[in-house]
Parts: sequence; structure tokens; C-alpha cells
Amino acid sequence: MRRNVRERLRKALGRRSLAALGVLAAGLFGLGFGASSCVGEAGLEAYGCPNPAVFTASVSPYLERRCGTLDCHGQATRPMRIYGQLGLRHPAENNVSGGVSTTQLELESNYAAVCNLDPAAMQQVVDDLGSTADKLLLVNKARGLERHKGGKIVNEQDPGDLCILGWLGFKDAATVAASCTAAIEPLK
Amino acid sequence: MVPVSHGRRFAVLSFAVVLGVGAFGCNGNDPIPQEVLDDLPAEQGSPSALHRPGQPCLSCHSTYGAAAPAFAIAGTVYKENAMGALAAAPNVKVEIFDSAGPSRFACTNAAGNFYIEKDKWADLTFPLKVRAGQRSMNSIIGREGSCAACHKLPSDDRPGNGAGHDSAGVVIVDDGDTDSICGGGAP
Repeated sequence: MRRNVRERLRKALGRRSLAALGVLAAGLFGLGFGASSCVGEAGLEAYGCPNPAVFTASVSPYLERRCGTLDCHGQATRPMRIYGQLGLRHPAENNVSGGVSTTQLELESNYAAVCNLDPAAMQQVVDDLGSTADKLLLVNKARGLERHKGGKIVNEQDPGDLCILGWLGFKDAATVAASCTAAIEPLK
Repeated sequence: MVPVSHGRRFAVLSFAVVLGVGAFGCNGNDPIPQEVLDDLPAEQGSPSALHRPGQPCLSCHSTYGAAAPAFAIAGTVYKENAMGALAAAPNVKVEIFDSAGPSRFACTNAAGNFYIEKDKWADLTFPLKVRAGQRSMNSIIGREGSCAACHKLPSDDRPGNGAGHDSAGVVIVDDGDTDSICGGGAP
């Protein structure tokens, strides 16, 4: 019976097709196996990104309020995951949403998430001191120029836009802080 | 007519079948809202404005969930009784401020539930700010119409008021924080 089926299949498909299917199956198996194995994580830890101190002091508080709500980027399932006091809390710590202030671990995680959203373009931004910042997904999604489920978040040159661009453009901490504070105010 | 080998015909047929199955499979099968729907407990009694307090209303009352009416925003408000246990908070005015126009409000019913139907606020513009009774939300609402998507009910890993890593806990107002416009005692 099985032999009959195999014979019929061979007749219907031809030997070449069967061989092609075999190669395809083997390829898919190999692809799956490769994808499941780990890349050396140590090699992935270095990344280019503007000033971490300015980010944690000014930019992260704005992103936490505007982007990191529990229904947006404050969700474990979303890219550019943002942790914060009023949103998602880091699973390695025992804090609750609405509890203690954003922790150092959460700030560092936010920095890593934002910097690695678009790592090659972000490295370019670092190399050219921010002159290509308008090529970043971070900027274009916020401006609504790139498809973004949360829609348009900022208008060009408004405080939220200047908060992000100031950090990406290596502006001084006080300038970035002023923009970010102005952007946060209406969100309170 | 160009002759087609069995192998090629088989490949074309297979491709068409896979394409068809894929298209059919995507229809009404969005994994994220579906997971929420699948995790909902069984209905207690029959559906009404008082049913399923504390659960994410728009999981069903939405285009995806297909329950009527579709809601723009909906949720449940609680108070704590003398023993510290959660109880429904009726007659509470819930005011919603959207990003475009004037605010609107809804009143909580006996189950603490409130809702605004989608066709009554079709141009609702996120982000939103919300005040329940005298309590204002600390954060904005980015795009979710179900309060319970973020204000989750207590569970084993979120005891008390339901606050946790990914939950702000249920919406709680002070006992007596009602509004006369909603049938409550206070103005």
C-alpha cells in the first residue's frame, strides 16, 4: 500500500521534483537550526549612541511619558521597549507600575533599546555628530513620516522633536533638558 | 500551448495552496488580541452592561471582537470597602480628555462599568487624559480604549489592587467619590 503511494507520488511529481523537495526540506531544517543557535552575545554589546548621561537625565523621562505607556512601548511584546515609573517595570526588579521612580537598570535598558532600534544608522549619527539624525526610525516614526502604530507623536521643531534631536545632535545637556522639560509638561 | 512538467505544475499548485491557506489563516486571527480573548474567563450569566467588570472591554467590543456595541473607551472603577477589599464604585463621573476636542464623560453603573460607544465618539484622538471622580491618571493613554488592558485585576502574581510589572492596578476612587450628574450624592 505504502509502496503504491510512493510510486504514485513519484510518477505524479517526477524524480526531480522529489529531489527538489528534499533539498528544500533540508534547507529549511538547516535554516531553523541556524536561527535557533546563539550568536556570541559579547560581540553584540558595543554599540554607537550619543551621550548616555544626557539620555538618562532628559530624553528617557520624555520617552517614558510619551512613548512608554503600558499600552504602547511599555509592553514587553513591542520593539523599542521603554521601562519607567508610570509604565512597564523591569522584570529583574520588584517594582510596580506607578511605584518608585525609574531605576538605573531601567534607564540603561531604555538607552540600549533606543540606541539599538536602528543600530547602523545610529552609528552613522554618532560618526557625523547628528547630521543624519533625520534618517533614524526613532525620528521618522515619531514625526509620522514612517508608518507608526501610535501615529504622529511630534511635529518638526516642537519641544519633543527638539528633545530627541538635541540629544542626537550632541547638543549640551542644558539645551536638551530645556526641550525635554517643555515636552513633558503638557503630558502631566 | 507550452507543455508544463508534472513537477512545475505541482510547484505552482503547492504555491497557490500555501498562499490560500496563509490568506485564510490571517483573517480574524491576530495573535495578540486573540490571546487576550482566549484568556478571558467564562461569561457569568448573560451579557449586559454589568457583565465582566475589570476585564478589557474592547477585546470584544471592537472591530476584532465583533461584540455590539463597539466601544471607543470603556472600563471599570473600584473603591475599597472598610475591610480593604475591592468593590464596584457606581455613580462615578469618568471624564476623558482627548487630544483634539472638548472632553466627554461617562458614568459608572452598579458594576462600576462605564463606556462610550465608538459611533458616539468616532473622532476620538489619542493620546487621552482621564479623570475618574477626583483622581486623575498620572500618565497619558497612548492608544488603548480598554482601561483594563493596563489596569489589571488582582491575580496570584499581582495581589492587592492588581499593580505589578505590567499593570497599574485597578482604577480606585475614594469611597463616596460620586457625582450628582451620575446619580450620586456629591456635586
